This record gives sequence, structure tokens and C-alpha cells, in this order.
Amino acid sequence: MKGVQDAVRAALVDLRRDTPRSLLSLSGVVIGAAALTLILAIGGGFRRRILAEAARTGSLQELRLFPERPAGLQPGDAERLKRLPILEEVAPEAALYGELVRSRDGTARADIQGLSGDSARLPRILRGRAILPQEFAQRRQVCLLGSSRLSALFPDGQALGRTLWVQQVPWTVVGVYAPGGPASSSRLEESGVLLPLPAAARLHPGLRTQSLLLRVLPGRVEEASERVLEALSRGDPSRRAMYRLEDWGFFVQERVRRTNLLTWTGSLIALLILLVGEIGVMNIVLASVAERTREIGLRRALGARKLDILRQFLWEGGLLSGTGCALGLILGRALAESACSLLGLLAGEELRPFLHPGLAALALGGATLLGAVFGLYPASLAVRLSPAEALRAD
Amino acid sequence: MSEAAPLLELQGAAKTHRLDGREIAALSPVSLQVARGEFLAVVGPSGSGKSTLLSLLGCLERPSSGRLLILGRDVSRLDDDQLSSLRARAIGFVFQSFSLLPSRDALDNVLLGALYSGLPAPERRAASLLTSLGLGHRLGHKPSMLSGGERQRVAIARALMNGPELLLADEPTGSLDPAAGDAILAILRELNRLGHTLVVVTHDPRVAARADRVIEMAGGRLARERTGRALP
Ligand SMILES: Nc1ncnc2c1ncn2[C@@H]1O[C@H](COP(=O)(O)OP(=O)(O)O)[C@@H](O)[C@H]1O
Ligand SMILES: [Mg+2]
Repeated sequence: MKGVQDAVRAALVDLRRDTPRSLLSLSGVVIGAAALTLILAIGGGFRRRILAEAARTGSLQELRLFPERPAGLQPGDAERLKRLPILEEVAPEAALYGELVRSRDGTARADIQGLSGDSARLPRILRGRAILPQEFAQRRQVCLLGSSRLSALFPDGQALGRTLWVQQVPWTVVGVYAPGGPASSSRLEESGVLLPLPAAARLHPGLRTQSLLLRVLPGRVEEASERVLEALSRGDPSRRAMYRLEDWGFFVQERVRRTNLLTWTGSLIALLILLVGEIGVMNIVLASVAERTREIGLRRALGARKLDILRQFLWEGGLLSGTGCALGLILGRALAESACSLLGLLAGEELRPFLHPGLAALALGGATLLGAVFGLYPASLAVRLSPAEALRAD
Repeated sequence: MSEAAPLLELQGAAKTHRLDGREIAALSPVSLQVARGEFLAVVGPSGSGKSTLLSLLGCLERPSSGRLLILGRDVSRLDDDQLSSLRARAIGFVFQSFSLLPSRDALDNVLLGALYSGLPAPERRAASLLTSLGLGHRLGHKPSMLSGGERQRVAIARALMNGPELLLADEPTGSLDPAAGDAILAILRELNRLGHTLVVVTHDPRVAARADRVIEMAGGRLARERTGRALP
């Protein structure tokens, strides 16, 4: 413990002896660590956003049930599933793909999605309002328009209160919603028009319930899959093959995995810079060994073993590298802050950098270790001389 | 380890260095005994091998040939770590250039003497050693704020930290004015009187005059030996 304390003091003296030169030699480590921090923090920010979005839309807790036969879902399926306590919600989903939609001023191709009245999952409304419960119940012909289709249908941007025709059926726009809702996990993400299912199912025969969205109690997705298939098979295992369950959390995790992969790839490059930077650390330790040869001789005379001397310079390398890494962490964090505001500005979404404290600690520890490794060669030079020879040096 | 065994015994110990492929003899084979409690002075012109002799006695390097016995035991068999531990426990060094760490104050420099020996509660011992050497008011002073004589006293305190039986000094007064040199000599004599065996390399005739025995080196050989103090 005293030895460590002594080594730390010696290293600090060394750093201070020529601070500008030390900082210059450390710049490689600082830049490498900053790059690493930048990449990790941006990657972490994206990851967090994906997960936050998933948490907001609840897609981590979702299963989708598709029929594996042309006949589609059975009439009693939804009712049967609603009786399962593990499911919080069973919402029918229906869609028409690439339908031609008209307004007085224009036309557009859009995906038409049915919205069930009891759905807890609502689109993010940009203008106007959502469809009211009584409008569902009274089968009113009102609809929500996706903002991506707004300009094609209403060049003046004024959609609220105006009429859309889908398959010759008129619908009044009450709200405009942002892409990404009603379910970012949905393949109908880019859906152009949302119609209340009770009315739409009557007026558009093609808009049948094609899938069921199942919201599961938190953390019980796997168990729920089994329960659902069990309930649907009604004691006949062959019936299980008539349904297909998709775990939508899986897709979210896939996005996270992709983000992670990119983050790690970038980190690898940053690590390479850091590695090159360690040569600077080696340089400082090398100079320190050369400058302190007499001191090494003195310490050997006082009874220091080769290992004690080695350890002293390994600590010095480690501390230097750790210091550089700490500076890099601070710098990288600041850079990530600016980079994220810029990226957020470009993407029109808020992005905040996030660096897990454990990851920062790991980087700090790793850099310290790496510095020690790069101090190995200079340290070996420090014990190459006999104590007498070291004392003889000027 | 017989009672009669001298503290140090060189048996035909020689030291050669390899420089650019040539062998340079720093010390021709020397046989020498140093008794416990003795005050031995080593004199001779520069380059005559005095420091080399001292390095061999202090286990700072191994003889190229011959042996060093400490209390009758051959230490050439010891490995590097064992030699380090021997230096830490039993041998104190004092150098002409003081060899203090400039960034540390007097107390910390003395504490360095206990860093590798694992001495318990070294702070109290360091402070009391410095105080007994008349530096009680200089504990927190950096070497740059001390006179040459004070620096050498700090170095002596450091050498004494582990209570070594053997004290080796290489021209301890070489960088000091006569008054400061005399003070250091007085300290060394007092230490010798207290039982430390003392080997001092010196150019200073006044130091040699106080020794029990003086050996004179020339050209890497032991040239002359004189016993008995010239002055009482
Ligand atoms: N490590 C070494 N490498 C080469 N030559 C050395 C080495 N150590 C000592 N010498 C040579 O050995 C001789 C004796 O040196 P030294 O013992 O220091 O003499 P002194 O202390 O009497 O001045 C000198 O000529 C010196 O140059
Ligand atoms: Mg000499």
C-alpha cells in the first residue's frame, strides 16, 4: 500500500516536472478516449431513445397474432383471448395496403389502418384531436390523417374538418398524427389514414381484422405466448399450427442490436486511436526512467527489489494513461453533447447522449491497465542495470 | 557462522566491465576482511576502484570472480531479491551527492529508507533520527532549502532507518566545506562508537586519520594498508 502511494507520488512529480510536454505526449490517449466516449455516448443515446420509444408505445410487451390460413381469424378468437388474465388488452388490427385516397384537392396512395376503440395505443396527435369514444360507438365517419400524406392531399395544409374519400366512402379528418404512431413496432407505421374500426369494418368489406394485437403483463411475454396458443387450440394441438405469434419486442431488440453493433464498430476504431496514444505514455515513462536512473539506483540500494521498481513505473504508465483517459472522457462527453444536439436537429427529434457510468469506469480502468502494459518496456529498462551501475549514472 | 568470522570478507573478488566488447578491469582480485565494529577508510586516486570495492561490499553488484562472505556466509548464492532484502535490513548507504529526492521534504526522504523494509511505524523513528542529528526543525524542508551538511545528515538518517549493522559511505564529505565535513565525520565516528561497522571511501585525510584502518587503492588494486589511528 505504501509502495503504491509512493509510486503515485513519483508519477505526479513526473507529470508536473514538464506539464506541457506531458500533456502533449498524452494527447493521443486523450483523443482516443474522447473518440471512444463520443461514440459510446451517441450510441447509448440512440439505444435509450429506441427503448424509451418502445416503452412509450409498449411494444416490448406486445405480441401479434396472425392467422396461418386464408380464412383468417375465427370469430370467437378475440373473445377467447380477452378472458386470459395474462393479457392486458386484445386489440383487433385491420388494414388495406396502398389504397387510393382522394380529397377535393389531390390524391395519394396510403395504407388504411383500422383503429379499435378500446385500444390503449394511440397515435401521437400533431394537430386536431384523437377519435372520441362516442365516435367509435356511434360509428361516426371520422378519421385521422398521417402527416406524411398531408401535403399530397391538402396542399394548403388545412386538413381539419375536411373530407377524404376511401373507396368512395367519405371520412372527415379530425386530427393529424405523426409518423411512428400508433405503434412504432407496427409494420403499418407509415400508415396514411386511421379509421375507427367499428364504422370502417362495415363500410369497407376488405378491411377485415387481419391480426390481433396482444398486450401482455410486463415481463411475461414468453409465458403469454404459450397461454395464447393453448387457449386458441382448445385442446386440439393441431390447431396451434393455424396461428402465428410474433413477438414485437424482438424487433425492438433487433434495432437495439443493430445500434450496438454500429457502436461497437466505432468503438473499435476509437480503441485503435487510444492504442496509438499509449505510445505517448510509453514515451513519457521512457523519459522518466532515463531521467531517474540515479533514483532507481538509490531505491535499489535502500532495498527495492526489481519488482518494486518495475511496479513503480507500471503504476506511472497506468496513472498517466488513466489521467489522459479521464480528460478524454470529459472532452468526449462535451463533444457528444454537441454532436447529439446537431444530430437531433437534423433528424427533427430529440437525442440526448448517454454513457453508462459502468462503461465509463470500465474505460478508465482499461486505459489504466493499458498504460501499465505500455509501461512494461520502459520499466524493464529501469531494472536492466545493476544498482551500482544505476547509481553511477549522471 | 562462527563468532570469529569477520562481518565482511572478500576472497579474490574482482570486477570487470564489458564496454564495446572490451573487458575493463575496475577491480583486480582483492582479498579483504572487515571486522565487526571496525571503522575502515578506503583512499586512493580517482578511478582506482574505491567505489567498485564499496559496491561489492554493499551487494550493489556481484563480483565477476571471487566471493563475498558476510559473517562467513557466501552471499553470491543469494538471488537478486534476497540481496535486496539484505540491503534493506543490514546495510546503510551514504553518497557524496546525498541522493535525496528533490520533490520530498526531509522527513519523507528519510521515510524512503523504510519503504522497502516494511519497518512498522516509520514516521516516529524518522522524526527522532532527524532530531537526534540536529534537524528536528527541518523536517518539512525540501532538500533545496537545506545546506550541504544538512542534506548529508538527512541522508545519514535515511541510511539509519532500518538500524543496519553496516554503514557504507562513498566520499560523504566530498561535497562539503571543512566545517560541515567535520560535523559529518563526527556523526560517523559516533555511529561507529555505537556499534555500526563503517567503511568510508574518502579523499579527505582528516577522515582517514580517524579510521581504525586505512587501505589505499591504486589502479584497481589494494596498494597499501595501514593500521592504527594516526591521531588519538
Ligand atoms: N559500470 C562501469 N562500466 C565501465 N567502467 C566502469 C564501470 N564502473 C567502474 N568503471 C571503471 O572502473 C574504474 C574504477 O572505478 P571506481 O570504482 O568508480 O573508481 P573510484 O571510485 O576509485 O574513482 C574506473 O576506471 C571506471 O571508469
Ligand atoms: Mg568513486
